[in-house]
Amino acid sequence: MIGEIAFIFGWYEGIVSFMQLVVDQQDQLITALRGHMMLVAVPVGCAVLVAIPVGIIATRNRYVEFLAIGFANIMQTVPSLALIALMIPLGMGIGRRPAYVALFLYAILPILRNTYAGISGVDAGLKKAARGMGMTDFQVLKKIELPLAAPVIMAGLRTATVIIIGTAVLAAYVGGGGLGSFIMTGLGLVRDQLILLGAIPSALLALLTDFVLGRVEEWVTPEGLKV
Amino acid sequence: MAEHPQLRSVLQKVITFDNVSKIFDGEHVAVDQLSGTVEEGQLVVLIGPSGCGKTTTLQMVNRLVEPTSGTIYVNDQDHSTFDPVKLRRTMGYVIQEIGLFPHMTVGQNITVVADLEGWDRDKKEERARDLIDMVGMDPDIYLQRYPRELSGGQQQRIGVLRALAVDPDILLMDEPFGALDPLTRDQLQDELADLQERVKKTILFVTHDMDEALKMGDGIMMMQEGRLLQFDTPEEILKDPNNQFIAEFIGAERMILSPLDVPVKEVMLNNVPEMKQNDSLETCLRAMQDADSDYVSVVDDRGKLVGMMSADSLQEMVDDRGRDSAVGEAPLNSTRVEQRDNIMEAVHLLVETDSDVIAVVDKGKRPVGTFTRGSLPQILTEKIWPRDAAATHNAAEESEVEDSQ
Repeated sequence: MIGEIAFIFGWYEGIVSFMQLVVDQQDQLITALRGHMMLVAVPVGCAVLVAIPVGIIATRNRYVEFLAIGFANIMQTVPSLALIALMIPLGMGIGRRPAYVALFLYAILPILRNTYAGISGVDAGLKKAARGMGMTDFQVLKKIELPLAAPVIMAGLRTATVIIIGTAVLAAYVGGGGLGSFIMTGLGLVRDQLILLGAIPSALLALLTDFVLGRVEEWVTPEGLKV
Repeated sequence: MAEHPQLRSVLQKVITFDNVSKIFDGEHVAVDQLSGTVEEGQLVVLIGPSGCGKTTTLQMVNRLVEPTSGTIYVNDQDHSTFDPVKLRRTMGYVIQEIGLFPHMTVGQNITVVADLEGWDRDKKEERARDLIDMVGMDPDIYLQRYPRELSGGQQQRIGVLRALAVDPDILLMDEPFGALDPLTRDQLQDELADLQERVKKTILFVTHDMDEALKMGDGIMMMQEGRLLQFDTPEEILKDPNNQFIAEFIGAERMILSPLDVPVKEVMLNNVPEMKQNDSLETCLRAMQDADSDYVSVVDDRGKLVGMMSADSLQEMVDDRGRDSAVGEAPLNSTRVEQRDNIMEAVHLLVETDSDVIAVVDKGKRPVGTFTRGSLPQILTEKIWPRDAAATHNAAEESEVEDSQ
């Protein structure tokens, strides 16, 4: 009985002191959160700009298909921590820059793969009909392929974003900031609560982003595919 | 290639193949030196077993496939000089896969080419309503629906309408009804035939189904391994297949064995004037004189046959009621046969109804001619004892003719 009360009290104590930590570290937390969001937004944004066009070209050109999908696959097999650490000997220095580049390379594959799969998954009969009726190649892409592939491409973007929110924690190891800095300090000082201060917000951020992008995915799905 | 009178040109030549070949990857010959002409307003069927080059031939017309050699003329112009995109917009295209865009409503699907051509919203909406009404689907219900909500038959109806939306002169149809169940296919064939009677497009129609070819075609191009074996009317192909392969492809059960197995269309008279129900008797009489016909056919507002009237009974009516009364009030003879029916059916009808004449109508019930007792001697002389048969028919038939003489 006493043990149980002590246990619950211990939890209560822990929560109270964690809240205290949050309040004390408020400014650092907000800075870290903002930095973390940048660590996600910049690489994912750049990956979208690169991977969607390359994914589209890959559906039309066998060489691009071979090179791009192969490259992205290899990037994905390198362990994320190693990829980030590798940026330093590759001359990126330390700080945000190596983190951005590594996370960008990491975000490419899901978007590229889904763009490629989404576009090449559009029914061949539809493309034949569209071309046969007198659509230019660009019109086929814009009016037929992209709208129909949009949910698949969006799913790739969603996967990439959620993965990068998790992986961006490792940016702290090369001085890239973000929520990972709390975790790294916490590990060094063996302070669980500091680790949680980094881990909890990044997990919440991932969940929230997944939910929001899930909604966007639904929204870009053409009405006619839902019925 | 045997030129048939009905395929001979009085009309504009719309699609002409001049020695057209297509060789894929430098070795696989898909189409081999094909020549032939599709006339305006005709439905020509390309038929043959899989891999005979019929689809390749069709796709060369709208340049989805470019010929390796030879030239295709569209309206007497070398079609490789046209911009492919513009060329395709002047030709409707219907495919077996139907290919309705699932993310667009039925209305948007129908007007997709109109949209490319920059039509405004109201004009597109009006066109979509007119077209869908034409196949008996309610615009208020269907235009807002998505393709997935329609049955296969309804989807392909929309596929055909989509091809007609900007009123192209040419329609290319690649096994359009191949994926439908037999009942629906039959129904859509009838609807297309009916539509064709009204819109008179030049249609190139690919199929591997001989029944469909015989039913739909004004002309049939029979292909095998890239070569055009025979290009003729269905009747001629049935009567006189060029070689063993065609005969086998047609199948013995469809072959015309008796010379009396000819459709009414071939022996009907087509100089009969067409009158509206409220035209006066006087107008009718004059029209008959002008056309040198003993009969008039009377049609309703939609051009469908109400009945026929002979010069004699018209004269009686004039004596009875005066020259100004409307012809619609007269007793009309409404016996009719369809133009593709066998002449024996027409003969039976003549005997059964004890009349001198019956009307011949097309699939849409519009009058196209008459079949009279006077046609009978003509049938006997031309079809049973053809005088110049020896010149065109094969040796076996020749000896038969000699025997009978």
